Amino acid sequence: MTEDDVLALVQRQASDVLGIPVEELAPDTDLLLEHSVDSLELMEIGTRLETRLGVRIDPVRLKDARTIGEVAAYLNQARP
Amino acid sequence: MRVAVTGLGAKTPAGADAGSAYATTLAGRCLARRLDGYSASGETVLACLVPDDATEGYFNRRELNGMDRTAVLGVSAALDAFADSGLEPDGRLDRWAIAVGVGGTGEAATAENITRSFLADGTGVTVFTAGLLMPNATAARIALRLGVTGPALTYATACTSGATAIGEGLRAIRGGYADVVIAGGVDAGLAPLVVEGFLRVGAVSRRIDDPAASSRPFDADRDGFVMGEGGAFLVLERWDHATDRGARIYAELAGYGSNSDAFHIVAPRPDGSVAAACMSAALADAGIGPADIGHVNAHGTSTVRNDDAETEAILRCFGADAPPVTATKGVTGHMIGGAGAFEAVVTVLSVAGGLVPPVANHVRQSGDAKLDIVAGEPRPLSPAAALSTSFAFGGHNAALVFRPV
Repeated sequence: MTEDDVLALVQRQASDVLGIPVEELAPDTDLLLEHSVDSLELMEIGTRLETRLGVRIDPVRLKDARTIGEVAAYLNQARP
Repeated sequence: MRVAVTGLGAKTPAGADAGSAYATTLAGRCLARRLDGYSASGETVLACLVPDDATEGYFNRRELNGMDRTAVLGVSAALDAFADSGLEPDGRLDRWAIAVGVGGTGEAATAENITRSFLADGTGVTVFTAGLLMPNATAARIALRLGVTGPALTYATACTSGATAIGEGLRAIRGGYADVVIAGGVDAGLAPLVVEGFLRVGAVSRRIDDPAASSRPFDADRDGFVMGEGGAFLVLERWDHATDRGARIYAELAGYGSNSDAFHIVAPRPDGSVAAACMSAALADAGIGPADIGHVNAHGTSTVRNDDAETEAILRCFGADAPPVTATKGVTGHMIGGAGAFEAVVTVLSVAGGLVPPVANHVRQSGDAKLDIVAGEPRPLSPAAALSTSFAFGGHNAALVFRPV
Protein backbone atom coordinates (compact mmCIF):
# COMPACT_ATOMS: atom_id res chain seq x y z
CA MET A 1 0.00 0.00 0.00
CA THR A 2 1.45 3.34 -1.05
CA GLU A 3 1.33 6.54 0.98
CA ASP A 4 -1.36 7.80 -1.39
CA ASP A 5 -3.37 4.65 -0.75
CA VAL A 6 -3.19 5.35 2.99
CA LEU A 7 -4.31 8.93 2.42
CA ALA A 8 -7.24 7.69 0.32
CA LEU A 9 -8.16 5.20 3.06
CA VAL A 10 -8.17 7.93 5.72
CA GLN A 11 -10.34 10.12 3.50
CA ARG A 12 -12.79 7.28 2.89
CA GLN A 13 -13.14 6.31 6.57
CA ALA A 14 -13.46 9.92 7.71
CA SER A 15 -16.06 10.49 5.01
CA ASP A 16 -18.00 7.44 6.15
CA VAL A 17 -18.00 8.34 9.85
CA LEU A 18 -18.60 12.07 9.44
CA GLY A 19 -21.06 11.81 6.57
CA ILE A 20 -19.03 14.24 4.46
CA PRO A 21 -18.21 13.65 0.75
CA VAL A 22 -14.63 12.47 0.15
CA GLU A 23 -14.01 15.46 -2.15
CA GLU A 24 -14.46 17.79 0.83
CA LEU A 25 -11.77 16.02 2.84
CA ALA A 26 -8.50 17.36 1.42
CA PRO A 27 -5.11 16.61 3.03
CA ASP A 28 -5.16 20.00 4.77
CA THR A 29 -8.76 19.67 6.04
CA ASP A 30 -8.80 20.29 9.80
CA LEU A 31 -11.23 17.75 11.23
CA LEU A 32 -11.77 19.61 14.50
CA LEU A 33 -11.98 23.17 13.20
CA GLU A 34 -13.86 22.50 10.00
CA HIS A 35 -16.00 19.53 10.98
CA SER A 36 -16.18 19.59 14.80
CA VAL A 37 -15.08 15.96 15.01
CA ASP A 38 -15.79 14.68 18.52
CA SER A 39 -13.68 12.22 20.49
CA LEU A 40 -15.96 9.26 19.78
CA GLU A 41 -15.94 9.93 16.05
CA LEU A 42 -12.16 10.24 16.02
CA MET A 43 -11.87 6.93 17.88
CA GLU A 44 -14.24 5.32 15.38
CA ILE A 45 -12.13 6.55 12.48
CA GLY A 46 -9.01 5.26 14.31
CA THR A 47 -10.56 1.86 15.00
CA ARG A 48 -11.51 1.42 11.36
CA LEU A 49 -7.99 2.36 10.22
CA GLU A 50 -6.43 -0.02 12.77
CA THR A 51 -8.52 -2.89 11.42
CA ARG A 52 -7.77 -2.15 7.80
CA LEU A 53 -4.05 -1.41 8.16
CA GLY A 54 -3.18 -3.90 10.88
CA VAL A 55 -1.51 -1.24 13.00
CA ARG A 56 -1.99 -0.30 16.63
CA ILE A 57 -2.83 3.39 16.86
CA ASP A 58 -1.83 5.51 19.85
CA PRO A 59 -5.00 7.51 20.63
CA VAL A 60 -3.00 10.45 21.98
CA ARG A 61 -0.92 10.69 18.81
CA LEU A 62 -4.09 10.38 16.74
CA LYS A 63 -5.71 13.27 18.62
CA ASP A 64 -2.64 15.40 17.90
CA ALA A 65 -3.11 14.82 14.19
CA ARG A 66 -5.49 17.62 13.24
CA THR A 67 -5.72 17.23 9.48
CA ILE A 68 -6.43 14.33 7.18
CA GLY A 69 -2.86 14.59 5.88
CA GLU A 70 -1.39 14.47 9.40
CA VAL A 71 -3.44 11.35 10.22
CA ALA A 72 -2.18 9.69 7.04
CA ALA A 73 1.42 10.70 7.80
CA TYR A 74 1.17 9.26 11.31
CA LEU A 75 -0.21 6.00 9.95
CA ASN A 76 2.52 5.77 7.29
CA GLN A 77 5.09 6.15 9.99
CA ALA A 78 3.37 3.69 12.39
CA ARG A 79 2.68 0.83 10.00
CA PRO A 80 5.23 -1.93 9.63
CA MET B 1 -51.90 21.60 40.40
CA ARG B 2 -53.33 21.03 36.92
CA VAL B 3 -51.26 19.69 34.03
CA ALA B 4 -51.98 20.47 30.39
CA VAL B 5 -51.22 18.38 27.31
CA THR B 6 -49.92 20.89 24.77
CA GLY B 7 -48.08 18.79 22.21
CA LEU B 8 -48.41 15.39 20.55
CA GLY B 9 -46.04 13.36 18.39
CA ALA B 10 -46.15 9.82 17.02
CA LYS B 11 -44.04 7.62 14.77
CA THR B 12 -46.16 4.52 14.48
CA PRO B 13 -47.34 1.86 12.04
CA ALA B 14 -50.58 3.88 11.85
CA GLY B 15 -48.94 7.13 10.81
CA ALA B 16 -45.93 9.40 11.14
CA ASP B 17 -47.71 12.14 13.08
CA ALA B 18 -50.30 12.12 15.84
CA GLY B 19 -53.18 13.35 13.69
CA SER B 20 -52.76 10.87 10.86
CA ALA B 21 -52.10 8.00 13.26
CA TYR B 22 -55.32 8.82 15.11
CA ALA B 23 -57.19 8.99 11.78
CA THR B 24 -55.88 5.52 10.93
CA THR B 25 -57.11 4.13 14.24
CA LEU B 26 -60.55 5.58 13.45
CA ALA B 27 -60.63 3.40 10.33
CA GLY B 28 -60.23 0.37 12.60
CA ARG B 29 -58.27 -1.87 10.23
CA CYS B 30 -55.44 -4.10 11.39
CA LEU B 31 -52.09 -3.19 9.80
CA ALA B 32 -50.30 -6.50 10.37
CA ARG B 33 -48.31 -8.09 7.58
CA ARG B 34 -46.22 -11.20 7.15
CA LEU B 35 -42.48 -11.12 7.75
CA ASP B 36 -39.93 -13.79 7.01
CA GLY B 37 -36.53 -14.04 8.66
CA TYR B 38 -37.66 -12.65 11.99
CA SER B 39 -37.98 -15.84 13.99
CA ALA B 40 -35.04 -18.00 14.97
CA SER B 41 -37.05 -21.06 14.01
CA GLY B 42 -37.72 -19.78 10.49
CA GLU B 43 -41.42 -19.47 11.18
CA THR B 44 -43.19 -16.63 9.35
CA VAL B 45 -44.33 -14.01 11.83
CA LEU B 46 -46.71 -11.06 11.80
CA ALA B 47 -45.73 -7.50 12.53
CA CYS B 48 -46.88 -3.89 12.22
CA LEU B 49 -43.98 -1.72 11.05
CA VAL B 50 -43.34 2.00 10.89
CA PRO B 51 -42.90 3.08 7.23
CA ASP B 52 -39.26 3.83 6.30
CA ASP B 53 -39.98 7.42 5.29
CA ALA B 54 -41.49 8.30 8.68
CA THR B 55 -38.19 9.58 10.05
CA GLU B 56 -36.58 11.02 6.92
CA GLY B 57 -35.00 14.43 7.45
CA TYR B 58 -34.73 14.33 11.25
CA PHE B 59 -31.10 13.24 11.52
CA ASN B 60 -28.03 13.48 9.33
CA ARG B 61 -25.88 10.50 8.51
CA ARG B 62 -23.38 11.48 11.18
CA GLU B 63 -26.02 11.49 13.93
CA LEU B 64 -27.38 8.17 12.70
CA ASN B 65 -23.97 6.50 13.32
CA GLY B 66 -24.76 6.48 17.01
CA MET B 67 -28.51 5.83 16.93
CA ASP B 68 -30.51 2.64 16.69
CA ARG B 69 -34.06 2.35 15.38
CA THR B 70 -35.50 2.82 18.87
CA ALA B 71 -33.69 6.13 19.33
CA VAL B 72 -34.59 7.29 15.81
CA LEU B 73 -38.30 6.61 16.31
CA GLY B 74 -38.32 7.94 19.87
CA VAL B 75 -36.38 11.14 19.31
CA SER B 76 -38.28 12.02 16.12
CA ALA B 77 -41.64 11.47 17.86
CA ALA B 78 -40.48 13.63 20.78
CA LEU B 79 -39.29 16.38 18.41
CA ASP B 80 -42.70 16.31 16.72
CA ALA B 81 -44.48 16.66 20.06
CA PHE B 82 -42.17 19.51 20.98
CA ALA B 83 -42.76 21.32 17.67
CA ASP B 84 -46.51 20.77 18.04
CA SER B 85 -46.46 22.45 21.46
CA GLY B 86 -45.17 25.72 20.04
CA LEU B 87 -42.58 25.91 22.82
CA GLU B 88 -39.17 27.37 22.08
CA PRO B 89 -36.10 25.72 23.61
CA ASP B 90 -35.07 28.73 25.67
CA GLY B 91 -35.52 30.13 29.15
CA ARG B 92 -35.40 27.84 32.16
CA LEU B 93 -34.42 24.62 30.42
CA ASP B 94 -33.35 23.31 33.81
CA ARG B 95 -37.08 23.33 34.62
CA TRP B 96 -37.83 21.04 31.67
CA ALA B 97 -37.63 17.28 31.96
CA ILE B 98 -37.64 14.24 29.71
CA ALA B 99 -39.46 11.03 30.65
CA VAL B 100 -39.08 8.04 28.34
CA GLY B 101 -40.58 4.59 28.72
CA VAL B 102 -38.77 1.70 27.07
CA GLY B 103 -39.76 -1.93 27.17
CA GLY B 104 -36.25 -3.16 26.44
CA THR B 105 -37.00 -4.97 23.19
CA GLY B 106 -35.30 -2.18 21.23
CA GLU B 107 -31.99 -2.51 23.04
CA ALA B 108 -32.25 -6.29 22.87
CA ALA B 109 -32.78 -6.12 19.09
CA THR B 110 -29.84 -3.77 18.68
CA ALA B 111 -27.59 -5.98 20.80
CA GLU B 112 -28.71 -8.96 18.77
CA ASN B 113 -27.92 -7.23 15.47
CA ILE B 114 -24.48 -6.10 16.65
CA THR B 115 -23.69 -9.52 18.11
CA ARG B 116 -24.65 -11.23 14.88
CA SER B 117 -22.20 -9.19 12.80
CA PHE B 118 -19.54 -9.45 15.51
CA LEU B 119 -19.71 -13.23 15.61
CA ALA B 120 -19.87 -13.48 11.82
CA ASP B 121 -16.79 -11.44 10.91
CA GLY B 122 -15.71 -9.33 13.87
CA THR B 123 -17.38 -6.19 12.53
CA GLY B 124 -20.31 -4.28 13.91
CA VAL B 125 -18.83 -3.31 17.26
CA THR B 126 -18.17 0.36 16.64
CA VAL B 127 -17.08 2.83 19.30
CA PHE B 128 -20.71 3.94 19.30
CA THR B 129 -21.84 0.56 20.62
CA ALA B 130 -21.85 1.47 24.32
CA GLY B 131 -23.99 4.51 23.60
CA LEU B 132 -26.30 2.46 21.39
CA LEU B 133 -27.00 -0.25 23.93
CA MET B 134 -27.85 1.90 26.93
CA PRO B 135 -31.61 1.95 27.54
CA ASN B 136 -31.44 5.66 28.41
CA ALA B 137 -30.10 6.58 24.95
CA THR B 138 -33.42 8.00 23.69
CA ALA B 139 -33.91 10.18 26.78
CA ALA B 140 -30.32 11.39 26.56
CA ARG B 141 -30.62 12.23 22.87
CA ILE B 142 -33.86 14.19 23.32
CA ALA B 143 -32.17 16.22 26.07
CA LEU B 144 -29.10 16.74 23.85
CA ARG B 145 -31.12 17.82 20.87
CA LEU B 146 -33.26 20.34 22.78
CA GLY B 147 -30.67 21.39 25.36
CA VAL B 148 -32.88 20.31 28.24
CA THR B 149 -30.85 20.31 31.47
CA GLY B 150 -33.52 19.12 33.90
CA PRO B 151 -33.85 15.39 34.63
CA ALA B 152 -33.88 13.07 31.60
CA LEU B 153 -35.18 9.81 33.00
CA THR B 154 -35.99 6.39 31.60
CA TYR B 155 -38.68 4.08 32.93
CA ALA B 156 -38.79 0.37 32.24
CA THR B 157 -42.10 -1.31 33.02
CA ALA B 158 -42.26 -3.44 29.85
CA CYS B 159 -45.52 -2.86 27.97
CA THR B 160 -46.60 -0.21 30.50
CA SER B 161 -43.43 1.89 30.14
CA GLY B 162 -44.92 4.66 27.99
CA ALA B 163 -47.83 5.21 30.38
CA THR B 164 -45.48 5.08 33.36
CA ALA B 165 -43.31 7.81 31.86
CA ILE B 166 -46.35 10.04 31.27
CA GLY B 167 -47.69 9.42 34.78
CA GLU B 168 -44.32 10.11 36.37
CA GLY B 169 -44.12 13.27 34.25
CA LEU B 170 -47.41 14.37 35.79
CA ARG B 171 -45.96 13.76 39.24
CA ALA B 172 -42.79 15.69 38.40
CA ILE B 173 -44.84 18.77 37.50
CA ARG B 174 -47.19 18.44 40.46
CA GLY B 175 -44.20 17.91 42.75
CA GLY B 176 -42.69 21.18 41.57
CA TYR B 177 -39.67 19.55 39.93
CA ALA B 178 -40.49 20.66 36.39
CA ASP B 179 -42.64 23.09 34.39
CA VAL B 180 -42.51 21.10 31.15
CA VAL B 181 -42.08 17.36 30.66
CA ILE B 182 -41.67 15.72 27.27
CA ALA B 183 -43.02 12.30 28.14
CA GLY B 184 -43.67 9.18 26.12
CA GLY B 185 -42.35 5.82 25.13
CA VAL B 186 -40.75 3.86 22.35
CA ASP B 187 -39.58 0.43 21.26
CA ALA B 188 -38.34 -1.11 18.03
CA GLY B 189 -37.77 -4.75 18.87
CA LEU B 190 -38.23 -6.54 15.59
CA ALA B 191 -35.31 -8.98 15.69
CA PRO B 192 -35.30 -12.79 15.55
CA LEU B 193 -34.38 -13.51 19.17
CA VAL B 194 -36.87 -11.02 20.58
CA VAL B 195 -39.66 -12.30 18.35
CA GLU B 196 -38.78 -15.93 19.11
CA GLY B 197 -38.99 -15.18 22.83
CA PHE B 198 -42.57 -13.96 22.46
CA LEU B 199 -43.40 -16.92 20.19
CA ARG B 200 -42.22 -19.37 22.83
CA VAL B 201 -44.33 -17.74 25.53
CA GLY B 202 -47.30 -18.27 23.23
CA ALA B 203 -48.14 -14.58 23.40
CA VAL B 204 -48.21 -13.72 19.70
CA SER B 205 -50.83 -14.37 17.06
CA ARG B 206 -50.07 -17.16 14.60
CA ARG B 207 -52.88 -16.18 12.23
CA ILE B 208 -50.35 -16.13 9.38
CA ASP B 209 -52.92 -16.96 6.73
CA ASP B 210 -54.97 -13.86 7.49
CA PRO B 211 -52.82 -11.00 8.84
CA ALA B 212 -55.63 -8.43 8.60
CA ALA B 213 -57.67 -10.50 11.06
CA SER B 214 -54.81 -11.28 13.44
CA SER B 215 -54.96 -8.56 16.10
CA ARG B 216 -58.49 -8.60 17.57
CA PRO B 217 -58.63 -7.28 21.14
CA PHE B 218 -61.39 -8.65 23.36
CA ASP B 219 -62.69 -10.87 20.54
CA ALA B 220 -63.51 -14.48 21.37
CA ASP B 221 -61.32 -15.75 18.51
CA ARG B 222 -58.18 -13.83 19.44
CA ASP B 223 -54.95 -15.83 19.66
CA GLY B 224 -52.27 -13.36 20.68
CA PHE B 225 -50.76 -9.96 20.02
CA VAL B 226 -49.02 -8.77 16.87
CA MET B 227 -45.55 -7.37 17.34
CA GLY B 228 -45.37 -3.67 16.56
CA GLU B 229 -42.87 -0.88 16.90
CA GLY B 230 -43.04 2.85 17.32
CA GLY B 231 -42.83 5.82 19.58
CA ALA B 232 -45.20 8.49 20.84
CA PHE B 233 -44.73 11.54 23.01
CA LEU B 234 -46.80 14.16 24.81
CA VAL B 235 -45.72 17.56 25.99
CA LEU B 236 -46.99 17.99 29.54
CA GLU B 237 -47.01 21.49 30.94
CA ARG B 238 -47.91 23.17 34.19
CA TRP B 239 -51.33 24.67 33.50
CA ASP B 240 -50.44 28.30 34.12
CA HIS B 241 -47.18 27.88 32.17
CA ALA B 242 -49.31 26.82 29.19
CA THR B 243 -52.02 29.46 29.57
CA ASP B 244 -49.51 32.27 30.16
CA ARG B 245 -48.02 31.68 26.73
CA GLY B 246 -51.41 31.17 25.09
CA ALA B 247 -50.71 27.55 24.22
CA ARG B 248 -53.29 25.32 22.61
CA ILE B 249 -54.32 22.77 25.23
CA TYR B 250 -55.55 19.42 23.91
CA ALA B 251 -56.68 18.05 27.25
CA GLU B 252 -55.83 17.90 30.92
CA LEU B 253 -53.79 15.00 32.27
CA ALA B 254 -55.80 14.72 35.46
CA GLY B 255 -54.88 11.45 37.13
CA TYR B 256 -52.41 8.60 37.36
CA GLY B 257 -52.46 5.23 39.07
CA SER B 258 -49.53 2.82 39.30
CA ASN B 259 -49.20 -0.54 41.03
CA SER B 260 -47.94 -4.11 40.61
CA ASP B 261 -49.73 -7.44 40.35
CA ALA B 262 -47.15 -9.36 42.40
CA PHE B 263 -48.52 -12.49 40.78
CA HIS B 264 -46.39 -13.86 37.92
CA ILE B 265 -43.47 -12.75 35.77
CA VAL B 266 -45.46 -12.75 32.52
CA ALA B 267 -49.10 -13.62 33.31
CA PRO B 268 -51.61 -11.07 34.57
CA ARG B 269 -53.49 -11.71 37.82
CA PRO B 270 -56.59 -13.43 36.38
CA ASP B 271 -59.16 -11.78 38.64
CA GLY B 272 -57.98 -8.30 37.59
CA SER B 273 -58.22 -7.11 41.19
CA VAL B 274 -54.90 -5.25 41.33
CA ALA B 275 -55.38 -3.78 37.85
CA ALA B 276 -58.83 -2.57 38.98
CA ALA B 277 -57.25 -0.97 42.04
CA CYS B 278 -54.84 0.81 39.69
CA MET B 279 -57.73 2.21 37.66
CA SER B 280 -59.55 3.30 40.83
CA ALA B 281 -56.39 4.98 42.08
CA ALA B 282 -56.14 6.99 38.84
CA LEU B 283 -59.78 8.09 39.18
CA ALA B 284 -59.23 9.09 42.81
CA ASP B 285 -56.09 10.96 41.80
CA ALA B 286 -58.17 12.91 39.28
CA GLY B 287 -60.82 13.55 41.93
CA ILE B 288 -63.56 11.83 39.93
CA GLY B 289 -65.63 8.67 40.16
CA PRO B 290 -66.30 5.78 37.73
CA ALA B 291 -69.48 7.47 36.46
CA ASP B 292 -67.44 10.44 35.22
CA ILE B 293 -65.49 8.34 32.71
CA GLY B 294 -66.85 8.49 29.16
CA HIS B 295 -64.71 5.73 27.68
CA VAL B 296 -61.77 3.45 28.43
CA ASN B 297 -58.83 3.12 26.03
CA ALA B 298 -57.85 -0.36 27.15
CA HIS B 299 -54.48 -2.09 27.03
CA GLY B 300 -56.29 -4.79 24.96
CA THR B 301 -53.35 -6.74 23.60
CA SER B 302 -55.44 -9.42 21.89
CA THR B 303 -53.82 -12.11 24.03
CA VAL B 304 -56.23 -14.53 25.67
CA ARG B 305 -54.99 -13.82 29.18
CA ASN B 306 -54.63 -10.04 29.10
CA ASP B 307 -58.03 -9.36 27.62
CA ASP B 308 -59.78 -11.73 30.03
CA ALA B 309 -58.01 -10.23 33.05
CA GLU B 310 -58.60 -6.70 31.80
CA THR B 311 -62.31 -7.41 31.28
CA GLU B 312 -62.48 -8.52 34.92
CA ALA B 313 -60.57 -5.41 36.00
CA ILE B 314 -62.84 -3.01 34.11
CA LEU B 315 -65.98 -4.68 35.50
CA ARG B 316 -64.52 -4.56 39.02
CA CYS B 317 -63.68 -0.88 38.73
CA PHE B 318 -66.82 0.29 36.94
CA GLY B 319 -69.45 -2.34 37.71
CA ALA B 320 -72.06 -3.51 35.22
CA ASP B 321 -72.42 0.02 33.79
CA ALA B 322 -68.85 0.15 32.54
CA PRO B 323 -68.30 2.84 29.89
CA PRO B 324 -67.52 1.99 26.23
CA VAL B 325 -64.14 0.34 25.72
CA THR B 326 -61.75 0.72 22.81
CA ALA B 327 -58.28 -0.73 22.16
CA THR B 328 -55.95 0.47 19.44
CA LYS B 329 -53.60 -2.54 19.31
CA GLY B 330 -56.09 -4.09 16.92
CA VAL B 331 -54.82 -1.55 14.39
CA THR B 332 -51.18 -0.94 15.36
CA GLY B 333 -50.09 -4.18 16.95
CA HIS B 334 -48.18 -3.95 20.21
CA MET B 335 -45.56 -1.20 20.28
CA ILE B 336 -44.33 -2.44 23.70
CA GLY B 337 -42.64 0.61 25.28
CA GLY B 338 -44.41 2.89 22.81
CA ALA B 339 -47.86 1.35 23.34
CA GLY B 340 -49.02 3.17 26.45
CA ALA B 341 -47.77 6.48 25.07
CA PHE B 342 -49.49 6.09 21.71
CA GLU B 343 -52.70 5.03 23.41
CA ALA B 344 -52.43 8.15 25.55
CA VAL B 345 -52.15 10.20 22.33
CA VAL B 346 -55.26 8.48 20.93
CA THR B 347 -57.11 9.01 24.21
CA VAL B 348 -56.21 12.71 24.23
CA LEU B 349 -57.48 13.15 20.66
CA SER B 350 -60.61 11.10 21.42
CA VAL B 351 -61.35 13.28 24.44
CA ALA B 352 -60.60 16.47 22.50
CA GLY B 353 -62.69 15.52 19.48
CA GLY B 354 -65.39 13.36 21.05
CA LEU B 355 -64.81 10.46 18.64
CA VAL B 356 -63.60 7.06 19.88
CA PRO B 357 -61.94 4.62 17.45
CA PRO B 358 -63.38 1.13 17.02
CA VAL B 359 -61.53 -2.05 18.00
CA ALA B 360 -60.28 -3.72 14.82
CA ASN B 361 -61.67 -7.17 14.07
CA HIS B 362 -63.91 -7.23 17.12
CA VAL B 363 -66.94 -9.43 16.52
CA ARG B 364 -68.00 -10.89 19.87
CA GLN B 365 -66.59 -11.23 23.37
CA SER B 366 -65.68 -14.56 24.88
CA GLY B 367 -67.91 -16.27 27.42
CA ASP B 368 -70.50 -14.07 29.04
CA ALA B 369 -68.33 -10.95 29.19
CA LYS B 370 -70.50 -7.86 29.06
CA LEU B 371 -68.27 -4.99 28.09
CA ASP B 372 -69.53 -2.35 25.68
CA ILE B 373 -66.77 -2.72 23.08
CA VAL B 374 -66.63 0.01 20.41
CA ALA B 375 -66.62 -2.00 17.18
CA GLY B 376 -67.24 -1.47 13.50
CA GLU B 377 -67.44 2.32 13.41
CA PRO B 378 -65.96 5.15 15.48
CA ARG B 379 -68.36 6.18 18.21
CA PRO B 380 -69.20 9.83 18.93
CA LEU B 381 -69.34 10.52 22.66
CA SER B 382 -70.29 13.64 24.57
CA PRO B 383 -67.40 15.41 26.32
CA ALA B 384 -66.14 13.40 29.28
CA ALA B 385 -62.93 12.24 30.90
CA ALA B 386 -61.34 9.02 29.65
CA LEU B 387 -59.13 6.35 31.16
CA SER B 388 -56.13 4.84 29.35
CA THR B 389 -54.84 1.59 30.83
CA SER B 390 -51.59 -0.32 30.47
CA PHE B 391 -50.67 -3.71 31.89
CA ALA B 392 -47.34 -5.41 31.38
CA PHE B 393 -45.19 -8.49 31.62
CA GLY B 394 -43.85 -8.21 35.15
CA GLY B 395 -47.27 -7.18 36.47
CA HIS B 396 -46.70 -3.44 36.08
CA ASN B 397 -50.02 -1.61 35.89
CA ALA B 398 -50.67 2.03 35.05
CA ALA B 399 -53.77 4.08 34.34
CA LEU B 400 -54.02 7.67 33.10
CA VAL B 401 -57.05 9.98 33.23
CA PHE B 402 -57.44 12.65 30.54
CA ARG B 403 -60.13 15.29 30.83
CA PRO B 404 -61.48 17.59 28.11
CA VAL B 405 -60.62 21.28 28.41
